[in-house]
Amino acid sequence: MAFIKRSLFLRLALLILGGAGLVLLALISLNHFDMRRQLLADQRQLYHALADAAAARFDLNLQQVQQVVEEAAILFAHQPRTRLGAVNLLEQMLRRHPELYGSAIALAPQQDTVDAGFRILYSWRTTDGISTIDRSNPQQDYQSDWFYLPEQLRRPVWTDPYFDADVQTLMVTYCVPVLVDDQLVAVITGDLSLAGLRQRLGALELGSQGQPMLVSQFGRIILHPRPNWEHRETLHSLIEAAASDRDRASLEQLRNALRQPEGGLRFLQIGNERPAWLYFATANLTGWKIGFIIPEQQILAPVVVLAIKTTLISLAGLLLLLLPAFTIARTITRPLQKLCGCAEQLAGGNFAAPLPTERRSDEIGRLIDAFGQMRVDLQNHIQQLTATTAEKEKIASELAIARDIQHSILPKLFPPFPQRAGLDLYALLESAREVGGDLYDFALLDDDRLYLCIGDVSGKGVPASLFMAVGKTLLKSTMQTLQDPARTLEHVNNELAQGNDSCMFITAFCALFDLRSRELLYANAGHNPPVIIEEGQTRLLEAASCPPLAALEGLSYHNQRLTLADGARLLLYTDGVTEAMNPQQQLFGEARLCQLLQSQPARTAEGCVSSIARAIRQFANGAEQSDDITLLCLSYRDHAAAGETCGHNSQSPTSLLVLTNHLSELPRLVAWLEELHRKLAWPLEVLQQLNLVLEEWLVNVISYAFDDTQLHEIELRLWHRPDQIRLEVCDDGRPFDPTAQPEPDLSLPIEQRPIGGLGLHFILNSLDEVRYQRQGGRNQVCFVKQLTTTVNS
Amino acid sequence: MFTSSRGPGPLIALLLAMLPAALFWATPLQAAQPLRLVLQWEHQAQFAGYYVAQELGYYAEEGLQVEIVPGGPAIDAPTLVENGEADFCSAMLAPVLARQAEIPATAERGLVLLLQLINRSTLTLVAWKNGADGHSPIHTAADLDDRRVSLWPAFATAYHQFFARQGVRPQVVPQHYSLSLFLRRGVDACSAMLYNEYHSLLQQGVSRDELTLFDFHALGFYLPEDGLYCRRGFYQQQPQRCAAFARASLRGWQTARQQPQLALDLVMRQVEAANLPVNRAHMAWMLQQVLQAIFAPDDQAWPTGRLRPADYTGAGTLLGLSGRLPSYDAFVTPEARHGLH
Repeated sequence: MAFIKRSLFLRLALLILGGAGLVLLALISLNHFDMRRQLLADQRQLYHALADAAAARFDLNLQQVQQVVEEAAILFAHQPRTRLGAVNLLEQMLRRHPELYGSAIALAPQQDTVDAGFRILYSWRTTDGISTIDRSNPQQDYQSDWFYLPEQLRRPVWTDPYFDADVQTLMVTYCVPVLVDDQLVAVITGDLSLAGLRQRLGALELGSQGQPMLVSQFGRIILHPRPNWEHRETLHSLIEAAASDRDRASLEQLRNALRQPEGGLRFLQIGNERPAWLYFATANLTGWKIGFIIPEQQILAPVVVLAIKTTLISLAGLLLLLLPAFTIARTITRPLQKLCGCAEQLAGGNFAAPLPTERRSDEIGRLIDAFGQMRVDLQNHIQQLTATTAEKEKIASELAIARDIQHSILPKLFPPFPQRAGLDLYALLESAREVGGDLYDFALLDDDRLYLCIGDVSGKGVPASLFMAVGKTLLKSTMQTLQDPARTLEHVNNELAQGNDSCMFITAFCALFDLRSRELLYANAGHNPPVIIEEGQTRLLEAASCPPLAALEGLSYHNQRLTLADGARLLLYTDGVTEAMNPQQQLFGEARLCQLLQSQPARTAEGCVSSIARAIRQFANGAEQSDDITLLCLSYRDHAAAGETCGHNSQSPTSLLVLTNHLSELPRLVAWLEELHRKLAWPLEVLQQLNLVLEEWLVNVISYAFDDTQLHEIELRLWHRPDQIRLEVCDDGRPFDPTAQPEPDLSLPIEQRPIGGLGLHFILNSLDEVRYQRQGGRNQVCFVKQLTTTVNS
Repeated sequence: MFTSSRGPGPLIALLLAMLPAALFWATPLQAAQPLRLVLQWEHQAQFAGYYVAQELGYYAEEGLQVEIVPGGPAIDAPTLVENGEADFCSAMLAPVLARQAEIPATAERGLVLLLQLINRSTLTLVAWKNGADGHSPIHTAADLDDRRVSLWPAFATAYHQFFARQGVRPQVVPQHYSLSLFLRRGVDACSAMLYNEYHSLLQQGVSRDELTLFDFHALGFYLPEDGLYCRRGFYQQQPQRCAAFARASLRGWQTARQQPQLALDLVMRQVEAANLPVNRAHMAWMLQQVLQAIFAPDDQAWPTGRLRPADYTGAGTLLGLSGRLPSYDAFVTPEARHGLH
């Protein structure tokens, strides 16, 4: 019954119908059973009364006959016994008493019949009137009960029903002995015909199926619905002949009940076993039981009719209930349905869908009002939200622009100074938000002096970024003017501290690096001490810590000096690195930073910075970046001798490529050469040759030059002139002079030749010139390729 | 005398049944005509064997064509046979002997016994155990002294002998065809046949323990009852035929004993056809009792179908007819003497 679950209307209607219906049914049922009981009782009383009435009427009849015959007996006793007199008497009796069927005067056998002129006279009622006869067989009559009984009993008596042959009638007779001087003189009788009895009983209102029953005082069945029982069976013979135990039980029940003077009982009819009721009473004068057998069906008929009426009324009532049930259900579900439609419209964006118009003050009405209010509020809310979102987007877009601007003021081109060979510098800034307070800066003040700076504005976001922009610009311009880190810091501090209402400050580290002397001149304004990586050892550059910038005017700062060894690396960073936190609230820390730098020495500044950034990311393990991460890594390798081998001391190479000693770097070589080929318009064959040569050489170097598993750098420098290309390849592997190798024995078959050598042979023969120098623990090989003056087509 | 539970019932059919008999009364019987058996009373189980013999063709097998005619209150079966209006009759020994005592012993019109069916007397005296008034118990024959007793005239002598032997003198009134007087407690005791009136009393609501039963046979009064008779003259003329008739009749009774339900059905058919006011249960009782009175429980009791000389003499004595009766051989045919083969 899923559809009931889905319909409030149906549920309500059924509930109302069910509830009210149940109550209705209960009431009607109670009433019905009450009435049924009453009806049955009434019916029983009716039939009881009928039986009583029938018995009483029967008794009345008998009474009348008794009276008549007794009176006649008295009369006859005192009148002379003549035929005429007797006939008159008889006929008078019959005339005066229509209930009498017949009457006889029988002289006793020993009486003198000659004088009397008769022996036994009999008068009875015929269709024509009254007939009188002499009985045909007096001997037989004297032996009949109607004479014999009063003769022997010497008192009036009612006979049992019998068949009189003379008149061919079943009758019952009241016979009165006429006793004179204690001698039986005659017997006078009065007959009641059974047919007449049956008629009178049948006239009673017994309903369509009720039938009378007469049982004699000795249990003989006189009248019964079953004619073949009449005059044949007795209550006992029926029991004797019972076909089944049930029949026997039923008959015994009847017999026992009929021993009482009156009563009523329910029994199962013989044969068809349909229930019937017997109500009976006793006709006291004969002791006969007069009863009525009513099939239960008839007794219950009015009850059945009642039941049908009751059912119909119930059904009608239920049907009528349908109307209010549905109406009530509808008054609830209809506005709900409307509201539902309205809500759907609302979900689709239509705020104007009409609400149910009914004005009600009940729950539904309150729901409708609440819904309307909700709709208005929703509209307002959406409007507010739209406005807020628009503003937020405006701010976000402005922030984005600000971020771009901020990023654009930081130098981002790497490598920044390719013309200064050996100067490896890389910086990275990852802001926590769109705009941040970290800064870094670097610039070549002149050919030999490099300005470095890193700083961190207190706070985050737009205020810090503004301060950062000011600070960065100020630092650079001041340094360019003053060319002294400490003085620069002092000046910038004073400038920033002026009018610094927001109490922001900048920690800064700024330095000047002399490329010739390798001297670093630096000053630190409260910033994290940089890390020096030298000879595989890391140490922090502890500076006398001076306060940050912009906090107080008039502060003084001091310079410090340091000489960076060749190949040493300097790492500047902000506290976003060391104070990077993981989900367990642990800090990255200087120790971890130093340990990282020590254990994974990168070959390039970019590699160093990248690996630190990666390590921080790994450490953070998904935790949100709380502060800007800024890293700047610098290393200077003096390659003054670089290019000597190639005879181009003074000239910086056209291009520099640094590879690590891994075969996977070769594509970079190829790309580099391609780029140069495109830019410098080499002939294709030149490119191809260079490709082959360099590849061959580099494979050799990568494969054989190094004993360890460390990363090594291989530097390739290229000088381009219109007439020639010079390539210098430097590595710090085992010494290997390509020019000093023996010529391969080309005459030997392949199997017999020692490995290697052929490639070298090829290189040497492909190029116009190959020179070798070992200097500073490094192999320096120079390849020269002449370009033909003929211009490539 | 001849009683049945004579309740009122339409006897129209009975009268009609008598009409054909009336036609035959006038004319004497011819040898070629069907043999007529007249029963001593209206159709009832007392004559079951004859119905069986008729229905199952036993008479036909003997080459006899038989017509069974019922008796009744207006019909005296022995008289009809005596007159020649019937060939055979069923009758009780007592009234037949009473009649034989009045006619010459060897008269042709006298009756001879062909078949003694009921050898065991079923005559009884039934008394109210507590007397007609309910306060004067009758438990033994001695209690009958000075009590009102109704007796069948035909057996009056036998009863008186019984009373004399018990040394009691009850007040006797005649009894006719109904038990109404007894039922109405007009008498303390009444005559009853065990197979008939006794059961009628039970069927009319009297219970066994309300009654004291004086069973003549049990008390040593041996008076055989129903038998099959024919006219002496007729027997002398056609002994074979008579024997055949007796034989077939006895066979009918034997079959009735073996198939009582069949016999009962045949009885009820006769009863219903005659519209007699009897019920099946009563007929069933009657049949059972009659069969028990015909067929001895063992050979020592009495020979079936035969009348012993001692019983003949004893009956005469009981009926007070000694010396006036024909001799045993004159009265009892060889068939009833020696049995049928």
